[in-house]
Amino acid sequence: MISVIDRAMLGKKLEERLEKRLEERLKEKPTEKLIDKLIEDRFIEYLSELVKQLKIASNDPDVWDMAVVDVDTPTVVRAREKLTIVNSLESGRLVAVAITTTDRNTLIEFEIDTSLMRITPRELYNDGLVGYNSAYPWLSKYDDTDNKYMVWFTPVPERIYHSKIRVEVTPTTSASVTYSCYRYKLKR
Amino acid sequence: MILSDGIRELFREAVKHAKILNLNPDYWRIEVLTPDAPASIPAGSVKELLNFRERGKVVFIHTFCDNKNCLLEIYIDNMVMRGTPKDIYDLGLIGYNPTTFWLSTYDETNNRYVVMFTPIPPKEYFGRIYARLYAPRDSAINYKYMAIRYKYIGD
Repeated sequence: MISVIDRAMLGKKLEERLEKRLEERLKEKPTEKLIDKLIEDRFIEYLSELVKQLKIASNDPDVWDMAVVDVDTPTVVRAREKLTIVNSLESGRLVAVAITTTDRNTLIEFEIDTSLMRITPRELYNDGLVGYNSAYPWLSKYDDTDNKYMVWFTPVPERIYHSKIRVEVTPTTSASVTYSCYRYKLKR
Repeated sequence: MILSDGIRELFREAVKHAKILNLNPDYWRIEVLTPDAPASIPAGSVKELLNFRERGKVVFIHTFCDNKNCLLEIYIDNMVMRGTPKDIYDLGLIGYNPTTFWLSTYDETNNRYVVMFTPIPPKEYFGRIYARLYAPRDSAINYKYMAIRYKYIGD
């Protein structure tokens, strides 16, 4: 049987033990808060990335710049001289490139990340690439009478690149050239 | 753990942008523009087919005219496309492409010219779009048009 005194002692010990546990818990709480904060920060990081990726997918101007190069007035490019339409280290999406030239042997280079396409209007014509396709350069015009050649590259879906884009034109004889290039540039 | 305001806000943003991406009707309304009947533009004058300051996506623009020298101009944010049916014909843009103008009809005998713009995916714009048709100085033209776009109706 527990005496009244014992009961008082037991109550006191229990009280002390509870107080001690409370103190310990209070000491632990800052650590719990720190863990909560770390989890919250990680959550925010993931969610911010998710929002960014969704904005990227929907061409949102918060993350993209539309870059337009459009030269309608014919530029004379001398034989073997290189005309740079775009040459940039960036991430982006290529929408369209259109080039007219008066020399059917004009070399057109498309360097997109690690891939390099080197074509001429004549080669495209010989390969039958007259009329639209979604993946490779194509001709809308191949006119040997008036020396008028028009090359397009209009990838669908838009061609994504992560590090580099270069489009350059080198005629074999002096040529009159017009060009345009539309692309989305990822903001840094 | 109770979600903080920052996390809740980001969740809302993520759902919003997923809906925008998926053309959810909470954020987009499809609108069709078409005049009741063919109309005409006096020589040297211009007709504004559409002009909006908004966020949207062009699905297609179809224009018919009876003069190959009638100039179509489409402005989408900082991009301008312009050309007459004759220019487009001379560039060889006969038959479909998903990027720029193309001709579905070029008939010099009956004077029927149809210029299409059918971007894939629908061309997004964030500030302004307009389309104008200019009659040549020496001749009035008859025209028809139709355009379909998604108009952004979110905040």
